[in-house]
Amino acid sequence: MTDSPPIALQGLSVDFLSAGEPPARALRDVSLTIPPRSIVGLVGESGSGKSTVAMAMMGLLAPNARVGAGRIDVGARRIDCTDGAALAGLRGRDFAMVFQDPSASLNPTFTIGAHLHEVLRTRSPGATRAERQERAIEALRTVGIDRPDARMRNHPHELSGGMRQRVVIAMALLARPRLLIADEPTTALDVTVEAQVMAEIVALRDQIGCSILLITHSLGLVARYCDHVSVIYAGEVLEYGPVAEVVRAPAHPYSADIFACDIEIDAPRAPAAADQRFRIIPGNLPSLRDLPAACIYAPRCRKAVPACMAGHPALLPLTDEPERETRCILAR
Amino acid sequence: MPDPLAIEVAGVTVDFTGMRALDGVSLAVPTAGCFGIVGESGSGKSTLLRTILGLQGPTRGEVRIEGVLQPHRRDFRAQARLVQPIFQDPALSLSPRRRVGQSLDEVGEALGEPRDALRARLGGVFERLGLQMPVLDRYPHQISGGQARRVAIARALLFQPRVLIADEPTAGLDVSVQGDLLNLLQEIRAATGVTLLIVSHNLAVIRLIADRVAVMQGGHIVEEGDSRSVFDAPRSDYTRTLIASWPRGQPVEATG
Repeated sequence: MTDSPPIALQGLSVDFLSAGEPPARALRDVSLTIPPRSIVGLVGESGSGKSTVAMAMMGLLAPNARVGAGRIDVGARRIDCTDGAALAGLRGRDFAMVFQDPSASLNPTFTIGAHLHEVLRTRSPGATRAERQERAIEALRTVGIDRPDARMRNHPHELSGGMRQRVVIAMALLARPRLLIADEPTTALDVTVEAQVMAEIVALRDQIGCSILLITHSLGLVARYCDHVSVIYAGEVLEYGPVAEVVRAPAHPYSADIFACDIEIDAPRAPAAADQRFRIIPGNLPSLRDLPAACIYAPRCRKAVPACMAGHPALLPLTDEPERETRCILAR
Repeated sequence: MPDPLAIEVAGVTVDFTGMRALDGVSLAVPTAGCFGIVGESGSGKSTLLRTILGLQGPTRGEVRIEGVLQPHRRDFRAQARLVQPIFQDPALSLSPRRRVGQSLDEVGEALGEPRDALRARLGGVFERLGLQMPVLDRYPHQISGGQARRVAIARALLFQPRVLIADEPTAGLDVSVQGDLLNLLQEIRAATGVTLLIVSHNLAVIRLIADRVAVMQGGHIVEEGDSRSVFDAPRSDYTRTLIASWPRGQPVEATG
């Protein structure tokens, strides 16, 4: 593989407007670096803005969203995130997306075959119908769908949730994007199916050499499948780095706190189940309409000192590990 | 005569048109512990829960709660004191058109308890759940999701039931707040001696909170036993697959 440059999102800021209220500053200065062929996890809780990042990159934000700033570097091109037409040019070609609900990507009135043909008409306009049919069946077979020729004639409702998600992955396989954005792709699936669908997503990366942005609330998925992770909270990236290092020694107290709250299948147990107690993070998310000029996590942070309230910290590299970045002033 | 089991399910089969949702399920839930039922979509765990709650009549077999044959509709009061559900969506327990206090007063009407006596008990329940009295004057849409979950639990506790059944109590909750709900269930269990039955797809939570576990697949219980032995030394292949599929921290090597 040649070392093509990473896909880089720089300084994305998004507000949501509603009448009679100050704007909700949903994303502030969000940057992500997605190296070629790597899987980057974007992990955060409800309200963190992680799905807004995906929708902004795809140019699919709701009408009341206002993109204040941001750019995406893809290969030699630089796309302005405020330019909807430029983003539309990436969509379906450079970027493809897998949603939590596969039905969001599938038209209930079209057959599975029609969806796959549609992708190929865009991506391989010179191919004949017979060639498209052959490649579509091959794609279904690749993502582990039995009797793919028969499935081509089925409609989405005739397939299980896991099978529908495989069809969406087959569409991405045919679209051959540079970046696959997968937003909670397995959240609606059973755990045994989740493992199979994640295996198909990894196989897709191996086959077409794309990068993957995996948006998830599941720390287990991040630890298992991602190379890098970006931890997002209340619209800001608080920490970025290689997964192994971030999990081993988080450089932001918020990362450490959510890792500690995560209940793993091999977590230590109290001697009696009745004595088991669970970790929480006290407090609530800050209001996005009234943000403090301070560290966004300081009001909930166990380690906060007065300096944390004295200004809004930037995302900066760690002194000893320049590959890693954090907004925590205590980690520098 | 020994104390009756909290819940006894004996040979329960439930047939829907064209499919068998439960196939001869038998289960013994001892009193005053936490019993977990795990399984994937279509395993029959929701049908079993509905059958235990009397919301679904069995095609064959029977359910007893503390020895009382279910469903037990003729005596509503006794039934309400026997078993209470906590649903995944707290909105199911609260009317959107009534203030929270009005919904809770219904408990008194159901039990034939004077409003003042109920409100006096309510103070204690609210304190245990960390709820403030002004919540009573709000409508469900005016309180947070976390408060609504607590109000739904408060409503169930006001019946002082012998058995609490929680359906997917942590589904849809962030990791930073799910522990709060689990701690609450643990405190309720310690303070009241209630028997807790939790139905969940979350193996990691059930492993920690349940004394005993049943694993369901395809309308059957494929394995049942002490939580430690089920998770540490599963006997069924399906249980092993389920546990092995749970995402954990070992990275997967790239093959490309």
